Amino acid sequence: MGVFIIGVGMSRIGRREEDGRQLLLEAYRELVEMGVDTAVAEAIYVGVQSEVYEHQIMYGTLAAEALGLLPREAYRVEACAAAGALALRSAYMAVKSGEVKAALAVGVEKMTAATTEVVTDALMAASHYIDQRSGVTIPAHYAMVARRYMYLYGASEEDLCMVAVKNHRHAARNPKAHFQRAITPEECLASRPIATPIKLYDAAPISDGAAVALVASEEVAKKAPTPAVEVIASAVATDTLSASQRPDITYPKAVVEAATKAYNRAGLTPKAVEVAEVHDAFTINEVLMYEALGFAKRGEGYKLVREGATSLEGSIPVNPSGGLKARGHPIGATGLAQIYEIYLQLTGRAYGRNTGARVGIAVNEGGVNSAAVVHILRAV
Amino acid sequence: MTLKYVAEGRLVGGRCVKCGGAFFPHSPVCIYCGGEAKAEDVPRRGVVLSYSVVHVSNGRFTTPYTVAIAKFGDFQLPGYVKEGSVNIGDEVVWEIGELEGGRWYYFKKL
Repeated sequence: MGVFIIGVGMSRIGRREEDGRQLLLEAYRELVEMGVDTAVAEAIYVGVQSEVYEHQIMYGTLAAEALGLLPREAYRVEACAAAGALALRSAYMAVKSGEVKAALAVGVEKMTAATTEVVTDALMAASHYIDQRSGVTIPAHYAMVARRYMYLYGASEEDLCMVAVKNHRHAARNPKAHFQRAITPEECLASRPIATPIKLYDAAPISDGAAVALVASEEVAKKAPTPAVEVIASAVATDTLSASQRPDITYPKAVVEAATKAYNRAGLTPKAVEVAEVHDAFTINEVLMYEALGFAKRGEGYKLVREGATSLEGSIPVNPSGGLKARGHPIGATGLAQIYEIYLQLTGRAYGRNTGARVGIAVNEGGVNSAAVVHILRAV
Repeated sequence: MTLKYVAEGRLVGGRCVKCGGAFFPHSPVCIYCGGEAKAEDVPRRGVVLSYSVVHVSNGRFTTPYTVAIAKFGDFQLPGYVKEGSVNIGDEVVWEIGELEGGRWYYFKKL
């Protein structure tokens, strides 16, 4: 049974005055304005990372109420930064099973009202207590992965900064991105340390935002006035909660597992993918994603950026939206912000940054690649 | 359980009787294969696999400070590095003492 996305919406991402509820509404209004009948949704799945920022759980009920969709089935799903894609996964499963004809996947996070220390602490909850008690922040985890990767494969801090340079260049064409300006490698290299060798410009910002996708059966999709894209694969995998317990900390096993399952379910090889949105919470991770998705061999991912292969004009454009790095990273919304971009790309609506792609992949992960969610979408 | 061992001055990992995998902290179920795991003391001396100097913390640790992942025998542990800096390949030992308000282990360069 085919599963389709028949409409999407996303708030502007950034430091916003609005609360989570208002951001959700902003994203939802764009979906409604596409002309699709959102009342067909029989269930709502909401990705949210933390109740710390807004002192709010029950985000399923909150979303149903805020969007005028009570008394529908609605609940929250969570795997830190992978929450958004898990909401899509839940909607996909509900529709695929035949339990519902359509479901709404929602992701939201309102982070900027909290201090950086509070955000750092809330994100540390995504690691093992041995990490937390030892003061290993999430940026420090990725920093240790980056340092080990550089040691093993000869990549430099400048190589990693080139990911940020590329993604800022892409975001300059995205009117909803948190940062709509290009940066230079020198600016990145000179930015202040967060957890060495990770610097401010290697890291995704703390952002507010929301995104939604309406998932529907073939029957509903056929009647919809909006263009549909087919979800041809949805896959999830997990890895150790503490990155320290991995034989090779530079190998994102959960992402490899999820991607392999997704490729097999779609009957595709990496060569068939024409656009990708990947989880560049830190620049090192975009490089690891190239390798995990089969775009580059292990230890050679960093070379793709230098060659321009993953730029908008390249052979496999990665993060045309600007990625987490420059589009912004409202944690629970990110997975659906990726889907929003892939939908625009596959339907030719990513004005100013269209790639003409027909097949796109989205990789969303939580923890330190401890939960990975991969979706493959195809234009209809 | 880990805190009980720490109070005794020990760090105890798990060793799987099925796959031989070693992990930390101990749990009766192997985190790699689901097999049965026995408790095994973590050797005292290890080697740094990677490290980072943390400049932005959660407010509970005074910055800057160094953290590392080091390998002690077959066991890999994350840890706070007390007194000075480390590099990949450096030898360290773990010790137990006061760390940011609690009794916990940390690494020291040899």
